[in-house]
Order: sequence, then structure tokens, then C-alpha cells
Amino acid sequence: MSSNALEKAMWTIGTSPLEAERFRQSPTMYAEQFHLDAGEKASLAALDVGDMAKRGASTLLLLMGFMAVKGPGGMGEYMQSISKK
Amino acid sequence: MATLVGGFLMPHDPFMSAAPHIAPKEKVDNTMASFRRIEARIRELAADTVIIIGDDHYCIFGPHCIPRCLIGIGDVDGPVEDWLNIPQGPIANHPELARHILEQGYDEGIDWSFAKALTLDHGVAVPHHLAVRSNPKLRTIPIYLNAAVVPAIRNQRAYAIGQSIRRAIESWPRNERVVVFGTGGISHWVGTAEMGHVNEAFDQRILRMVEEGDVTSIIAMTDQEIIEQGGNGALELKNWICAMGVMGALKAETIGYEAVPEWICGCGFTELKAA
Repeated sequence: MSSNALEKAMWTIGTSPLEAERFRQSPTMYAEQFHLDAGEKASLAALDVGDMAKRGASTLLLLMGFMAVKGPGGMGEYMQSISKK
Repeated sequence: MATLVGGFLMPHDPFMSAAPHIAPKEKVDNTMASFRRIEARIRELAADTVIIIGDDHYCIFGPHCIPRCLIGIGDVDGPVEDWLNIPQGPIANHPELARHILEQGYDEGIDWSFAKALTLDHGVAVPHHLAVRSNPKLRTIPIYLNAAVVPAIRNQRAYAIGQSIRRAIESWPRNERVVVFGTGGISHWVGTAEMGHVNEAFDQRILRMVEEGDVTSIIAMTDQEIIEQGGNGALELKNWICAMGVMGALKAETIGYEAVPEWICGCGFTELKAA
């Protein structure tokens, strides 16, 4: 239960197209495999990068993982999420 | 003995190769002209070996292992990213000199990590593609410093590693002519709400310090200061510091600078010369 586990999840998603697809298929089930608390799992499943950044996860990894899931068209959505107060 | 014949500082922004068209044409042209200038100077210097100092961006290494300083002593290929518009494949390397840098570093207390088979990320691959690839005489020694994941390598340590690299070059018994690249920066914010912002005043301040050979002032900047003024990406100045450590007492000439928000980066280029 930590930003480290969030980073592990986002790195796994961000560096493997297969993992990114597994995440897309079932985000909630995907989040279950990592040592995360309920809030962290919810953030990961929702790809709430703003919340994950507040929890201390590296924005480098958040960007990488988010774009791996959403594709090149996801940048606008990423910036909306990371910018929310 | 081998000779250090020159040094260069430059960006390694992946958009330069992956999506140059998203930036204004004049800025693209000026940036590529800076790379052409570096290519030309390397030929004038008759270099045959280039040491490229960059940092990984969680492309090669993950949260399970973050090497503080790593040298490629074996096979080199890349890039690992398939979206850079850079052909993926083997890169001519210099395992003997790389191994010598590693071993001498060990004797001097530099705790190098090493790779016997290294696939580069854009931190080294983009400068290689834009400033080295066209020259078939050049062999590449890749060095990765942890400048992207906090806690990052200390500035003073980056400089000391550079000094060790220089001593290793000078003690190498063959006649290589070596140039060093420090890559990355200058101001950029990666993945944060500020992404796309470029702090030109900060960038110009850095370039002036480099021009004066004032690495002491750059080393004195805390990571917090650098992040606040130049973004988390500006910690890549540690790669510049290391290259300046390789050069020793130096003077420098700015080759070019463009603030390119479309590439999310202030792109600065400098030639380093022995003072």
C-alpha cells in the first residue's frame, strides 16, 4: 500500500502492450494483483493520474502508463486529470 | 594515450525525432542546424569515440532497479522505444575502453553498475541518431546517470564521475580521439500540470554559466531549486555536469537555443573546449 506499488503498476502497464491491454479489459481486476489499499486500487482502476500524483507516484510513470492505455489521443485527458486541484 | 578532443551539451527530447513537425519550422530548422554543427565539429576534431551521458526515463529500468550510474561495456542497441522514428538495431560500441573506464572507476571508488547488453532509450539514442549515426568512424560508449528518479544522483557525484572518466581516457594506452556528450534539459516539466512550459530565463542562466565554465554554480543548485525553476526534467543538468567533469577546466560556446513548448522543452546546445 504505497506510491511504490502504484509506480510498479503504472510501469508494468506502460512498458508492456500486453499488460496495457489486460488493464483495458478489466481495470478493477487488474488493480487487484498489486499491493494497494482500496483508495489506491480505485485510483489505478480509474487511471486517476491526478490522484495518483497526489499520492506520490512519479509523473513520468503516470504519463507513460496513461498513454500506453489511452493511446496518442489521450494527452488532453491526461492534462485534465493531472491539473485538477 | 587516448585524447579527449572535445565535448558537447545538447537536448535528448524524443519529440525532435518522433514528431518534429509539431514545432514551428524555424525552430525545427534551427535545432537541426545545431545538431549538424555538432556533427561537423566532430569530423573536424577527427573523433573516433563518443561517450554519451544521458538518463533513463523508466524505459530501460523500472521501480525494481534504479542504477545511480551505469556504463554499457558490451553490446549496445536500440532504441527501446518504437515510436521515435529511429531505426532499431545494433550500435557500434567500444567495449574495451568502456571496460577500462569501469575498472579504473572501481579502483577510484566509483561504484559503477554495468550492462553487458544494453538497449538504449531516447536519453542516449536521440543524440546518437541526430549527431553520431551519420559518422561511420564513431564508436559509442553509453553512460546512464539517474537524473530522472528522485532521489537522483548528487551533482557533486556526477561531476566526480566525470573526472574519473577523464582520468580513464588519459590512462588508456591506445590512440583514440574521444568526445563527450552531456545530454538532456534544459527546462522541461514531464507529466506534471506545467508540462509544455519552458522557462527561458532559467535556460539562458544555465547557458551563461556553462559559457563561463562555471560548473561550480550549477553544482551548487539544489534539486529543489532546479525542479522549481526548470521542472523535474531539468534534473538532467546532472548529465551536463558529468560531461563538464570529463572536460575539466573549460570554456564553452553556445551553439544554439530554442524554446519549444510544442516539444515541451528548452533546447540548448553548447560546445565545450579545454580552457
